[in-house]
Amino acid sequence: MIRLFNVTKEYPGSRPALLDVSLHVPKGQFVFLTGSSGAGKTTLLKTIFCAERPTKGQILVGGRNTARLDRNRIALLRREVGVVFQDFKLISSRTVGENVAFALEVVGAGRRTINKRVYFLLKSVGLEDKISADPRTLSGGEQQRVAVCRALANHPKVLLADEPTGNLDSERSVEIMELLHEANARGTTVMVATHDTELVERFRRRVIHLDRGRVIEDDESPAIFSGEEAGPHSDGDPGGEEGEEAAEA
Amino acid sequence: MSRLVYFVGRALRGMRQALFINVVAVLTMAIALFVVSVFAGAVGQMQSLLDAWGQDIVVAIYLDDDASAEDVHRIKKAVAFAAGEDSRVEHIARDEALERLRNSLGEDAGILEGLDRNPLPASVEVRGGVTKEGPEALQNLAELAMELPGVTEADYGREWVSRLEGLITLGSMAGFLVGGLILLAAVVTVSNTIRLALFARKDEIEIMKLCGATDSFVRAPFLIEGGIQGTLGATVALLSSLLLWLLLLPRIEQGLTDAFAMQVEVGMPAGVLVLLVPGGALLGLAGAALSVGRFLRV
Ligand SMILES: Nc1ncnc2c1ncn2[C@@H]1O[C@H](COP(=O)(O)OP(=O)(O)O)[C@@H](O)[C@H]1O
Ligand SMILES: [Mg+2]
Repeated sequence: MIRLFNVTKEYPGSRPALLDVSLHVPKGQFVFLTGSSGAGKTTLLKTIFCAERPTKGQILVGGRNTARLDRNRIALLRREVGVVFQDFKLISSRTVGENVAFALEVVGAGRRTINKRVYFLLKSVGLEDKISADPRTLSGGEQQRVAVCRALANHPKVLLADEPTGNLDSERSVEIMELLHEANARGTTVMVATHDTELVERFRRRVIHLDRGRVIEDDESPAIFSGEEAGPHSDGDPGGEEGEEAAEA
Repeated sequence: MSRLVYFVGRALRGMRQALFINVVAVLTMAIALFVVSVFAGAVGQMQSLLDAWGQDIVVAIYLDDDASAEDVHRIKKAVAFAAGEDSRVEHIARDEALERLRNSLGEDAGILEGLDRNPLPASVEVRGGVTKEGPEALQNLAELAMELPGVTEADYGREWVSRLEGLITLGSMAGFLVGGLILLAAVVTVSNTIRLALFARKDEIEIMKLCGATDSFVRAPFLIEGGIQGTLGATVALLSSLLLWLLLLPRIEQGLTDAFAMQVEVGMPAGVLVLLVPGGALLGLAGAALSVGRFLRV
Protein backbone atom coordinates (compact mmCIF):
# COMPACT_ATOMS: atom_id res chain seq x y z
CA MET A 1 0.00 0.00 0.00
CA ILE A 2 2.89 2.33 0.86
CA ARG A 3 6.34 1.98 -0.67
CA LEU A 4 9.31 4.27 -0.27
CA PHE A 5 12.36 3.89 -2.51
CA ASN A 6 15.55 5.58 -1.32
CA VAL A 7 13.72 8.62 -0.09
CA THR A 8 15.81 11.57 1.04
CA LYS A 9 14.33 14.84 2.26
CA GLU A 10 16.48 17.86 2.87
CA TYR A 11 15.05 21.09 4.21
CA PRO A 12 17.11 24.08 3.16
CA GLY A 13 20.04 24.73 5.42
CA SER A 14 20.01 21.69 7.67
CA ARG A 15 21.08 18.05 7.68
CA PRO A 16 18.71 15.69 5.84
CA ALA A 17 15.46 15.02 7.72
CA LEU A 18 15.21 11.69 5.89
CA LEU A 19 18.18 9.86 4.45
CA ASP A 20 17.82 7.07 1.90
CA VAL A 21 14.70 5.57 3.45
CA SER A 22 13.22 2.50 1.77
CA LEU A 23 10.29 0.62 3.20
CA HIS A 24 7.16 -1.28 2.30
CA VAL A 25 3.93 -1.28 4.25
CA PRO A 26 1.55 -3.89 2.82
CA LYS A 27 -2.18 -3.35 2.58
CA GLY A 28 -3.94 -3.80 5.93
CA GLN A 29 -0.82 -3.58 8.06
CA PHE A 30 -0.45 -1.62 11.29
CA VAL A 31 2.94 0.06 11.75
CA PHE A 32 4.49 2.13 14.50
CA LEU A 33 7.00 4.74 13.44
CA THR A 34 9.26 5.46 16.38
CA GLY A 35 12.28 7.60 17.09
CA SER A 36 13.26 10.51 19.25
CA SER A 37 12.19 14.05 18.52
CA GLY A 38 13.74 15.28 15.28
CA ALA A 39 14.28 11.77 13.93
CA GLY A 40 12.14 12.47 10.87
CA LYS A 41 8.82 10.81 11.73
CA THR A 42 6.67 13.82 10.83
CA THR A 43 8.61 14.40 7.66
CA LEU A 44 8.13 10.79 6.58
CA LEU A 45 4.36 11.02 7.08
CA LYS A 46 4.25 14.38 5.28
CA THR A 47 5.92 12.95 2.21
CA ILE A 48 3.31 10.19 2.14
CA PHE A 49 0.34 12.59 2.15
CA CYS A 50 2.15 14.94 -0.19
CA ALA A 51 2.54 17.86 2.21
CA GLU A 52 6.27 17.67 1.40
CA ARG A 53 8.00 16.45 -1.72
CA PRO A 54 11.04 14.23 -1.26
CA THR A 55 14.34 15.68 -2.43
CA LYS A 56 15.30 12.29 -3.85
CA GLY A 57 13.59 8.95 -4.25
CA GLN A 58 10.09 7.77 -5.09
CA ILE A 59 6.97 7.12 -3.06
CA LEU A 60 4.09 4.89 -4.11
CA VAL A 61 0.79 5.19 -2.29
CA GLY A 62 -1.86 2.73 -3.41
CA GLY A 63 0.15 2.19 -6.57
CA ARG A 64 0.39 5.88 -7.43
CA ASN A 65 3.75 7.59 -7.71
CA THR A 66 3.36 10.76 -5.68
CA ALA A 67 6.07 12.57 -7.63
CA ARG A 68 3.96 12.35 -10.78
CA LEU A 69 0.76 13.77 -9.28
CA ASP A 70 -0.48 17.25 -10.13
CA ARG A 71 -2.40 19.30 -7.57
CA ASN A 72 -5.76 17.83 -8.47
CA ARG A 73 -4.50 14.25 -8.30
CA ILE A 74 -2.89 14.98 -4.95
CA ALA A 75 -6.31 16.12 -3.74
CA LEU A 76 -7.81 12.85 -4.96
CA LEU A 77 -5.04 10.84 -3.28
CA ARG A 78 -5.67 12.61 0.01
CA ARG A 79 -9.26 11.41 -0.01
CA GLU A 80 -7.83 7.94 0.41
CA VAL A 81 -5.40 8.94 3.14
CA GLY A 82 -6.82 10.02 6.51
CA VAL A 83 -4.51 12.01 8.77
CA VAL A 84 -4.61 12.58 12.53
CA PHE A 85 -2.38 15.08 14.31
CA GLN A 86 -1.10 15.61 17.82
CA ASP A 87 -2.95 18.93 18.09
CA PHE A 88 -6.24 17.57 16.65
CA LYS A 89 -6.62 20.43 14.15
CA LEU A 90 -10.33 20.89 14.67
CA ILE A 91 -11.90 24.11 13.36
CA SER A 92 -13.04 26.10 16.36
CA SER A 93 -15.68 28.10 14.50
CA ARG A 94 -17.56 24.91 13.64
CA THR A 95 -19.41 22.39 15.70
CA VAL A 96 -18.12 18.87 16.33
CA GLY A 97 -20.52 17.50 13.73
CA GLU A 98 -19.52 20.13 11.17
CA ASN A 99 -15.87 19.29 11.70
CA VAL A 100 -16.50 15.67 10.78
CA ALA A 101 -18.87 16.69 7.97
CA PHE A 102 -16.13 18.86 6.51
CA ALA A 103 -14.22 15.88 5.12
CA LEU A 104 -17.38 14.68 3.40
CA GLU A 105 -18.34 18.10 2.01
CA VAL A 106 -14.91 18.33 0.44
CA VAL A 107 -15.55 15.23 -1.65
CA GLY A 108 -18.99 16.47 -2.63
CA ALA A 109 -21.19 14.09 -0.64
CA GLY A 110 -24.89 14.90 -0.37
CA ARG A 111 -26.41 16.41 2.76
CA ARG A 112 -28.33 13.28 3.78
CA THR A 113 -25.36 10.99 3.29
CA ILE A 114 -23.22 13.38 5.30
CA ASN A 115 -25.66 13.60 8.20
CA LYS A 116 -26.02 9.83 8.41
CA ARG A 117 -22.30 9.20 8.19
CA VAL A 118 -21.39 11.90 10.74
CA TYR A 119 -23.88 10.53 13.24
CA PHE A 120 -22.64 7.00 12.70
CA LEU A 121 -19.00 7.99 13.15
CA LEU A 122 -19.58 10.07 16.29
CA LYS A 123 -21.72 7.32 17.77
CA SER A 124 -18.96 4.80 17.14
CA VAL A 125 -16.67 6.85 19.40
CA GLY A 126 -19.38 7.61 21.94
CA LEU A 127 -19.68 11.32 21.09
CA GLU A 128 -23.05 11.46 19.34
CA ASP A 129 -24.37 13.72 22.12
CA LYS A 130 -21.65 16.27 21.37
CA ILE A 131 -22.57 16.63 17.71
CA SER A 132 -23.61 20.29 18.13
CA ALA A 133 -20.96 21.18 20.69
CA ASP A 134 -18.12 23.65 20.20
CA PRO A 135 -15.00 21.45 19.90
CA ARG A 136 -13.15 23.69 22.36
CA THR A 137 -15.49 22.57 25.13
CA LEU A 138 -14.37 18.95 24.69
CA SER A 139 -11.53 17.25 26.54
CA GLY A 140 -8.34 16.45 24.65
CA GLY A 141 -9.26 12.79 24.35
CA GLU A 142 -12.71 13.68 23.02
CA GLN A 143 -11.26 16.14 20.50
CA GLN A 144 -8.88 13.50 19.22
CA ARG A 145 -11.75 11.05 18.83
CA VAL A 146 -13.54 13.65 16.70
CA ALA A 147 -10.36 14.08 14.66
CA VAL A 148 -10.18 10.31 14.11
CA CYS A 149 -13.81 10.37 12.95
CA ARG A 150 -12.95 13.07 10.43
CA ALA A 151 -9.92 11.12 9.20
CA LEU A 152 -12.04 8.00 8.72
CA ALA A 153 -15.04 9.76 7.19
CA ASN A 154 -14.19 8.91 3.59
CA HIS A 155 -13.29 5.26 4.23
CA PRO A 156 -9.59 5.93 3.60
CA LYS A 157 -7.33 3.10 2.53
CA VAL A 158 -4.55 4.54 4.64
CA LEU A 159 -4.67 6.22 8.03
CA LEU A 160 -1.65 8.23 9.15
CA ALA A 161 -1.38 9.46 12.73
CA ASP A 162 1.38 11.81 13.90
CA GLU A 163 1.82 11.54 17.68
CA PRO A 164 -1.95 11.14 18.08
CA THR A 165 -1.60 10.59 21.81
CA GLY A 166 1.08 13.20 22.42
CA ASN A 167 -1.28 15.54 24.27
CA LEU A 168 -3.24 12.85 26.13
CA ASP A 169 -2.88 10.99 29.41
CA SER A 170 -2.21 7.26 29.20
CA GLU A 171 -5.82 6.16 29.62
CA ARG A 172 -7.05 8.46 26.79
CA SER A 173 -4.05 7.35 24.74
CA VAL A 174 -5.13 3.74 24.93
CA GLU A 175 -8.66 4.71 23.85
CA ILE A 176 -7.32 6.47 20.76
CA MET A 177 -4.99 3.59 19.93
CA GLU A 178 -7.92 1.23 20.14
CA LEU A 179 -9.85 3.35 17.64
CA LEU A 180 -6.89 3.17 15.27
CA HIS A 181 -6.77 -0.58 15.74
CA GLU A 182 -10.44 -0.93 15.00
CA ALA A 183 -9.92 0.98 11.76
CA ASN A 184 -7.05 -1.37 10.97
CA ALA A 185 -9.23 -4.37 11.76
CA ARG A 186 -11.67 -3.11 9.10
CA GLY A 187 -8.87 -3.18 6.55
CA THR A 188 -7.31 0.27 6.71
CA THR A 189 -3.53 0.41 6.53
CA VAL A 190 -2.40 2.37 9.60
CA MET A 191 0.86 4.15 10.32
CA VAL A 192 1.34 5.75 13.72
CA ALA A 193 4.30 7.97 14.57
CA THR A 194 4.98 8.06 18.29
CA HIS A 195 7.77 8.19 20.79
CA ASP A 196 5.59 6.64 23.50
CA THR A 197 7.44 3.33 24.00
CA GLU A 198 4.89 2.17 26.55
CA LEU A 199 2.15 2.24 23.93
CA VAL A 200 4.33 0.54 21.36
CA GLU A 201 5.07 -2.32 23.73
CA ARG A 202 1.47 -2.62 24.79
CA PHE A 203 0.15 -2.99 21.24
CA ARG A 204 3.02 -5.07 19.86
CA ARG A 205 2.98 -4.38 16.13
CA ARG A 206 5.56 -3.80 13.45
CA VAL A 207 7.95 -1.06 14.53
CA ILE A 208 10.02 1.08 12.16
CA HIS A 209 12.60 2.98 14.16
CA LEU A 210 14.10 6.18 12.78
CA ASP A 211 17.21 7.92 13.96
CA ARG A 212 18.43 11.14 12.40
CA GLY A 213 16.54 10.42 9.23
CA ARG A 214 17.60 6.78 8.79
CA VAL A 215 15.69 3.59 9.37
CA ILE A 216 17.89 1.86 11.92
CA GLU A 217 15.50 -0.90 12.93
CA ASP A 218 12.48 -2.53 11.28
CA ASP A 219 10.96 -5.11 13.56
CA GLU A 220 8.22 -7.07 11.80
CA SER A 221 8.00 -9.86 14.37
CA PRO A 222 5.56 -8.41 16.92
CA ALA A 223 2.80 -8.25 14.35
CA ILE A 224 3.37 -11.81 13.27
CA PHE A 225 2.91 -13.13 16.79
CA SER A 226 0.07 -10.89 17.90
CA GLY A 227 -2.57 -13.58 17.81
CA GLU A 228 -5.94 -12.13 18.63
CA GLU A 229 -5.91 -9.17 16.24
CA ALA A 230 -4.50 -11.01 13.26
CA GLY A 231 -6.24 -11.25 9.92
CA PRO A 232 -7.33 -7.66 9.28
CA HIS A 233 -7.92 -8.49 5.62
CA SER A 234 -10.73 -10.90 6.40
CA ASP A 235 -13.47 -8.37 7.16
CA GLY A 236 -13.10 -5.50 4.74
CA ASP A 237 -14.11 -1.94 5.48
CA PRO A 238 -17.32 -1.62 3.48
CA GLY A 239 -18.94 -4.86 4.62
CA GLY A 240 -18.11 -4.37 8.26
CA GLU A 241 -19.34 -0.82 8.46
CA GLU A 242 -22.46 -1.09 6.42
CA GLY A 243 -23.55 -3.81 8.79
CA GLU A 244 -23.08 -1.51 11.76
CA GLU A 245 -24.69 1.39 9.95
CA ALA A 246 -27.77 -0.66 9.18
CA ALA A 247 -28.00 -1.91 12.75
CA GLU A 248 -27.86 1.66 14.03
CA ALA A 249 -30.41 3.07 11.60
CA MET B 1 -26.72 23.39 -8.55
CA SER B 2 -26.58 22.08 -4.99
CA ARG B 3 -22.84 22.68 -5.26
CA LEU B 4 -23.45 26.34 -6.00
CA VAL B 5 -25.88 26.60 -3.09
CA TYR B 6 -23.24 25.02 -0.88
CA PHE B 7 -20.54 27.48 -2.00
CA VAL B 8 -22.83 30.48 -1.64
CA GLY B 9 -23.73 29.27 1.83
CA ARG B 10 -20.06 29.02 2.74
CA ALA B 11 -19.43 32.49 1.30
CA LEU B 12 -22.31 34.04 3.24
CA ARG B 13 -21.17 32.30 6.40
CA GLY B 14 -17.69 33.73 5.88
CA MET B 15 -19.13 37.20 5.31
CA ARG B 16 -21.14 36.98 8.51
CA GLN B 17 -18.03 36.03 10.44
CA ALA B 18 -16.33 39.25 9.34
CA LEU B 19 -19.39 41.44 9.04
CA PHE B 20 -17.73 44.79 9.58
CA ILE B 21 -15.02 44.58 6.93
CA ASN B 22 -17.57 43.13 4.52
CA VAL B 23 -19.87 46.09 5.07
CA VAL B 24 -16.92 48.40 4.49
CA ALA B 25 -16.05 46.61 1.25
CA VAL B 26 -19.65 46.73 0.02
CA LEU B 27 -19.93 50.43 0.82
CA THR B 28 -16.63 51.22 -0.86
CA MET B 29 -17.82 49.38 -3.93
CA ALA B 30 -21.17 51.19 -3.73
CA ILE B 31 -19.60 54.64 -3.47
CA ALA B 32 -17.12 53.98 -6.26
CA LEU B 33 -19.76 52.62 -8.62
CA PHE B 34 -22.18 55.41 -7.70
CA VAL B 35 -19.67 58.15 -8.47
CA VAL B 36 -18.57 56.50 -11.68
CA SER B 37 -22.09 55.74 -12.87
CA VAL B 38 -23.38 59.23 -12.18
CA PHE B 39 -20.41 60.70 -13.96
CA ALA B 40 -20.61 58.33 -16.92
CA GLY B 41 -24.33 58.96 -17.06
CA ALA B 42 -23.82 62.72 -17.10
CA VAL B 43 -21.18 62.55 -19.84
CA GLY B 44 -23.37 60.22 -21.86
CA GLN B 45 -26.33 62.53 -21.51
CA MET B 46 -24.32 65.56 -22.53
CA GLN B 47 -23.00 63.71 -25.52
CA SER B 48 -26.44 62.66 -26.67
CA LEU B 49 -27.76 66.16 -26.04
CA LEU B 50 -24.99 67.52 -28.20
CA ASP B 51 -25.78 64.97 -30.89
CA ALA B 52 -29.40 66.06 -30.75
CA TRP B 53 -28.39 69.68 -31.11
CA GLY B 54 -26.10 68.68 -33.94
CA GLN B 55 -29.25 67.70 -35.83
CA ASP B 56 -30.50 71.18 -35.21
CA ILE B 57 -27.46 73.16 -36.24
CA VAL B 58 -28.32 75.88 -38.70
CA VAL B 59 -25.89 77.56 -41.00
CA ALA B 60 -27.29 81.01 -41.60
CA ILE B 61 -26.15 82.71 -44.80
CA TYR B 62 -27.03 86.40 -44.69
CA LEU B 63 -27.83 88.14 -47.91
CA ASP B 64 -27.07 91.54 -49.24
CA ASP B 65 -30.17 93.78 -49.23
CA ASP B 66 -29.61 94.30 -52.98
CA ALA B 67 -29.56 90.60 -53.79
CA SER B 68 -31.97 89.77 -56.60
CA ALA B 69 -34.36 86.85 -56.67
CA GLU B 70 -32.05 85.31 -59.21
CA ASP B 71 -29.10 85.69 -56.84
CA VAL B 72 -31.11 84.03 -54.10
CA HIS B 73 -31.99 81.18 -56.43
CA ARG B 74 -28.34 80.63 -57.36
CA ILE B 75 -27.21 80.77 -53.74
CA LYS B 76 -29.82 78.24 -52.72
CA LYS B 77 -28.81 75.87 -55.50
CA ALA B 78 -25.07 76.18 -54.79
CA VAL B 79 -25.48 75.73 -51.07
CA ALA B 80 -27.87 72.80 -51.39
CA PHE B 81 -25.36 71.09 -53.67
CA ALA B 82 -22.49 71.72 -51.24
CA ALA B 83 -24.47 70.65 -48.17
CA GLY B 84 -25.34 67.28 -49.67
CA GLU B 85 -28.40 65.27 -50.48
CA ASP B 86 -30.39 65.24 -47.31
CA SER B 87 -29.91 68.89 -46.55
CA ARG B 88 -32.72 71.39 -46.32
CA VAL B 89 -32.26 74.90 -47.58
CA GLU B 90 -34.74 77.60 -46.79
CA HIS B 91 -34.97 81.24 -47.78
CA ILE B 92 -35.99 83.61 -45.00
CA ALA B 93 -37.14 86.95 -46.30
CA ARG B 94 -36.58 90.08 -44.23
CA ASP B 95 -40.20 90.36 -43.10
CA GLU B 96 -40.20 86.75 -42.06
CA ALA B 97 -37.00 87.22 -40.06
CA LEU B 98 -38.57 90.09 -38.18
CA GLU B 99 -41.71 88.06 -37.55
CA ARG B 100 -39.66 85.24 -36.06
CA LEU B 101 -37.77 87.61 -33.84
CA ARG B 102 -41.03 89.06 -32.65
CA ASN B 103 -42.34 85.58 -31.85
CA SER B 104 -39.26 84.51 -29.97
CA LEU B 105 -39.29 87.69 -27.90
CA GLY B 106 -42.83 86.98 -26.83
CA GLU B 107 -43.89 89.47 -24.17
CA ASP B 108 -40.82 91.57 -24.82
CA ALA B 109 -41.80 92.11 -28.42
CA GLY B 110 -42.74 95.65 -27.49
CA ILE B 111 -39.16 96.80 -27.87
CA LEU B 112 -39.48 96.27 -31.61
CA GLU B 113 -42.27 98.87 -31.82
CA GLY B 114 -39.74 101.70 -31.77
CA LEU B 115 -38.11 100.60 -35.02
CA ASP B 116 -38.99 102.66 -38.08
CA ARG B 117 -37.53 100.12 -40.51
CA ASN B 118 -36.69 96.42 -40.48
CA PRO B 119 -33.01 96.06 -39.44
CA LEU B 120 -32.78 92.35 -40.22
CA PRO B 121 -31.18 90.98 -43.39
CA ALA B 122 -32.71 88.25 -45.48
CA SER B 123 -30.99 84.90 -45.17
CA VAL B 124 -30.70 81.35 -46.46
CA GLU B 125 -30.74 78.69 -43.70
CA VAL B 126 -29.13 75.29 -44.20
CA ARG B 127 -29.99 72.29 -42.06
CA GLY B 128 -28.97 68.59 -42.20
CA GLY B 129 -26.55 67.23 -44.79
CA VAL B 130 -22.92 67.97 -44.01
CA THR B 131 -23.90 70.30 -41.17
CA LYS B 132 -24.19 67.18 -39.01
CA GLU B 133 -20.62 66.20 -39.70
CA GLY B 134 -18.91 68.42 -37.18
CA PRO B 135 -17.13 71.77 -36.94
CA GLU B 136 -14.87 71.27 -39.94
CA ALA B 137 -17.68 70.56 -42.39
CA LEU B 138 -19.55 73.58 -41.07
CA GLN B 139 -16.51 75.75 -41.56
CA ASN B 140 -16.10 74.58 -45.16
CA LEU B 141 -19.73 75.15 -45.96
CA ALA B 142 -19.62 78.65 -44.46
CA GLU B 143 -16.48 79.58 -46.38
CA LEU B 144 -17.96 78.35 -49.63
CA ALA B 145 -21.10 80.38 -49.08
CA MET B 146 -19.09 83.54 -48.38
CA GLU B 147 -17.57 83.33 -51.86
CA LEU B 148 -20.96 83.55 -53.54
CA PRO B 149 -22.14 86.90 -54.89
CA GLY B 150 -24.89 88.47 -52.81
CA VAL B 151 -23.73 86.90 -49.56
CA THR B 152 -22.54 89.17 -46.76
CA GLU B 153 -21.93 86.73 -43.96
CA ALA B 154 -22.25 83.06 -43.01
CA ASP B 155 -22.66 82.03 -39.42
CA TYR B 156 -23.10 78.78 -37.55
CA GLY B 157 -22.08 79.56 -33.96
CA ARG B 158 -18.85 77.69 -34.55
CA GLU B 159 -17.14 78.69 -31.33
CA TRP B 160 -19.96 77.59 -29.15
CA VAL B 161 -20.13 74.15 -30.77
CA SER B 162 -16.45 73.38 -30.79
CA ARG B 163 -15.93 74.72 -27.30
CA LEU B 164 -18.66 72.49 -25.92
CA GLU B 165 -17.27 69.47 -27.75
CA GLY B 166 -13.80 70.15 -26.43
CA LEU B 167 -15.14 70.54 -22.94
CA ILE B 168 -16.96 67.22 -23.10
CA THR B 169 -13.91 65.43 -24.48
CA LEU B 170 -11.70 66.88 -21.76
CA GLY B 171 -14.29 66.13 -19.11
CA SER B 172 -14.73 62.54 -20.13
CA MET B 173 -10.97 61.96 -20.32
CA ALA B 174 -10.48 63.33 -16.82
CA GLY B 175 -13.53 61.38 -15.74
CA PHE B 176 -12.29 58.09 -17.13
CA LEU B 177 -8.99 58.60 -15.36
CA VAL B 178 -10.52 59.49 -12.00
CA GLY B 179 -13.26 56.89 -12.41
CA GLY B 180 -10.67 54.25 -13.23
CA LEU B 181 -8.73 55.10 -10.09
CA ILE B 182 -11.87 54.99 -7.97
CA LEU B 183 -12.83 51.59 -9.40
CA LEU B 184 -9.30 50.32 -8.85
CA ALA B 185 -9.54 51.40 -5.22
CA ALA B 186 -12.80 49.48 -4.90
CA VAL B 187 -11.27 46.35 -6.43
CA VAL B 188 -8.30 46.62 -4.07
CA THR B 189 -10.67 46.97 -1.11
CA VAL B 190 -12.51 43.80 -2.08
CA SER B 191 -9.20 42.09 -2.69
CA ASN B 192 -7.99 43.03 0.80
CA THR B 193 -11.21 41.86 2.39
CA ILE B 194 -10.82 38.51 0.70
CA ARG B 195 -7.19 38.33 1.74
CA LEU B 196 -8.20 38.92 5.36
CA ALA B 197 -10.84 36.22 5.00
CA LEU B 198 -8.22 33.85 3.60
CA PHE B 199 -5.91 34.54 6.53
CA ALA B 200 -8.73 34.24 9.04
CA ARG B 201 -9.63 30.84 7.61
CA LYS B 202 -6.11 29.61 7.04
CA ASP B 203 -6.57 26.63 9.33
CA GLU B 204 -9.82 25.75 7.67
CA ILE B 205 -8.18 25.88 4.25
CA GLU B 206 -5.30 23.73 5.44
CA ILE B 207 -7.70 21.12 6.76
CA MET B 208 -9.79 21.25 3.60
CA LYS B 209 -6.70 20.47 1.59
CA LEU B 210 -5.71 17.64 3.92
CA CYS B 211 -9.18 16.19 3.44
CA GLY B 212 -8.61 16.21 -0.32
CA ALA B 213 -10.28 19.44 -1.43
CA THR B 214 -9.31 20.52 -4.93
CA ASP B 215 -8.01 24.05 -5.50
CA SER B 216 -11.22 25.12 -7.16
CA PHE B 217 -13.24 23.79 -4.24
CA VAL B 218 -11.14 25.87 -1.84
CA ARG B 219 -11.32 28.95 -4.06
CA ALA B 220 -14.97 28.98 -5.02
CA PRO B 221 -16.44 30.36 -1.77
CA PHE B 222 -13.91 33.20 -1.69
CA LEU B 223 -14.53 34.13 -5.32
CA ILE B 224 -18.26 34.06 -4.66
CA GLU B 225 -17.73 36.21 -1.59
CA GLY B 226 -16.02 38.84 -3.77
CA GLY B 227 -18.78 38.53 -6.34
CA ILE B 228 -21.43 39.04 -3.67
CA GLN B 229 -19.64 42.11 -2.32
CA GLY B 230 -19.51 43.58 -5.82
CA THR B 231 -23.14 42.74 -6.53
CA LEU B 232 -24.37 44.21 -3.24
CA GLY B 233 -22.26 47.34 -3.71
CA ALA B 234 -23.55 47.73 -7.26
CA THR B 235 -27.14 47.29 -6.11
CA VAL B 236 -26.74 50.06 -3.55
CA ALA B 237 -25.11 52.23 -6.24
CA LEU B 238 -27.90 51.44 -8.70
CA LEU B 239 -30.65 52.40 -6.26
CA SER B 240 -28.85 55.61 -5.29
CA SER B 241 -28.26 56.52 -8.94
CA LEU B 242 -31.89 55.85 -9.82
CA LEU B 243 -33.01 58.02 -6.93
CA LEU B 244 -30.61 60.77 -7.91
CA TRP B 245 -31.71 60.77 -11.55
CA LEU B 246 -35.36 60.67 -10.59
CA LEU B 247 -34.88 63.70 -8.37
CA LEU B 248 -32.58 65.61 -10.71
CA LEU B 249 -33.97 64.86 -14.15
CA PRO B 250 -37.01 67.16 -14.03
CA ARG B 251 -34.81 69.99 -12.79
CA ILE B 252 -32.16 69.40 -15.42
CA GLU B 253 -34.75 69.29 -18.17
CA GLN B 254 -36.43 72.42 -16.85
CA GLY B 255 -33.08 74.20 -16.60
CA LEU B 256 -32.08 73.26 -20.14
CA THR B 257 -35.49 74.12 -21.51
CA ASP B 258 -35.23 77.57 -19.94
CA ALA B 259 -31.64 78.10 -21.02
CA PHE B 260 -32.10 77.15 -24.67
CA ALA B 261 -35.66 78.28 -25.12
CA MET B 262 -36.62 74.88 -26.52
CA GLN B 263 -38.11 71.71 -25.15
CA VAL B 264 -35.25 69.41 -23.98
CA GLU B 265 -35.77 65.79 -22.95
CA VAL B 266 -32.89 64.06 -21.25
CA GLY B 267 -34.10 60.69 -19.92
CA MET B 268 -32.26 58.15 -17.74
CA PRO B 269 -28.78 56.99 -18.76
CA ALA B 270 -30.18 53.47 -19.21
CA GLY B 271 -27.02 51.94 -20.64
CA VAL B 272 -24.94 52.87 -17.62
CA LEU B 273 -27.57 51.73 -15.15
CA VAL B 274 -28.05 48.37 -16.85
CA LEU B 275 -24.31 47.69 -16.75
CA LEU B 276 -23.96 48.60 -13.10
CA VAL B 277 -24.83 45.31 -11.38
CA PRO B 278 -23.05 42.90 -13.74
CA GLY B 279 -20.10 45.28 -13.74
CA GLY B 280 -20.02 45.35 -9.96
CA ALA B 281 -20.19 41.56 -9.76
CA LEU B 282 -17.27 41.25 -12.19
CA LEU B 283 -15.19 43.80 -10.30
CA GLY B 284 -15.81 41.98 -7.02
CA LEU B 285 -14.89 38.69 -8.64
CA ALA B 286 -11.72 40.24 -10.05
CA GLY B 287 -10.76 41.63 -6.64
CA ALA B 288 -11.26 38.23 -5.03
CA ALA B 289 -9.35 36.48 -7.81
CA LEU B 290 -6.38 38.78 -7.18
CA SER B 291 -6.06 37.55 -3.60
CA VAL B 292 -7.17 33.97 -4.06
CA GLY B 293 -4.80 33.34 -6.93
CA ARG B 294 -1.82 34.54 -4.98
CA PHE B 295 -2.75 32.95 -1.67
CA LEU B 296 -3.32 29.43 -2.92
CA ARG B 297 -0.13 29.08 -4.95
CA VAL B 298 1.60 27.14 -2.21
N1 LIG C 1 9.68 22.75 7.70
C1 LIG C 1 10.94 22.46 8.09
N2 LIG C 1 11.96 23.26 7.73
C2 LIG C 1 13.23 22.99 8.10
N3 LIG C 1 13.56 21.94 8.84
C3 LIG C 1 12.59 21.08 9.24
C4 LIG C 1 11.23 21.33 8.90
N4 LIG C 1 10.48 20.33 9.42
C5 LIG C 1 11.35 19.51 10.07
N5 LIG C 1 12.61 19.97 9.97
C6 LIG C 1 13.80 19.33 10.50
O1 LIG C 1 13.82 18.01 10.02
C7 LIG C 1 14.21 17.13 11.03
C8 LIG C 1 13.15 16.06 11.24
O2 LIG C 1 12.00 16.68 11.78
P1 LIG C 1 10.63 15.91 12.01
O3 LIG C 1 10.30 15.17 10.78
O4 LIG C 1 9.64 16.90 12.49
O5 LIG C 1 11.00 14.90 13.16
P2 LIG C 1 10.05 14.20 14.23
O6 LIG C 1 8.66 14.29 13.77
O7 LIG C 1 10.57 12.81 14.30
O8 LIG C 1 10.26 14.92 15.52
C9 LIG C 1 14.49 17.95 12.28
O9 LIG C 1 15.87 18.21 12.32
C10 LIG C 1 13.74 19.22 12.01
O10 LIG C 1 14.39 20.31 12.61
MG1 LIG D 1 7.03 15.12 14.70
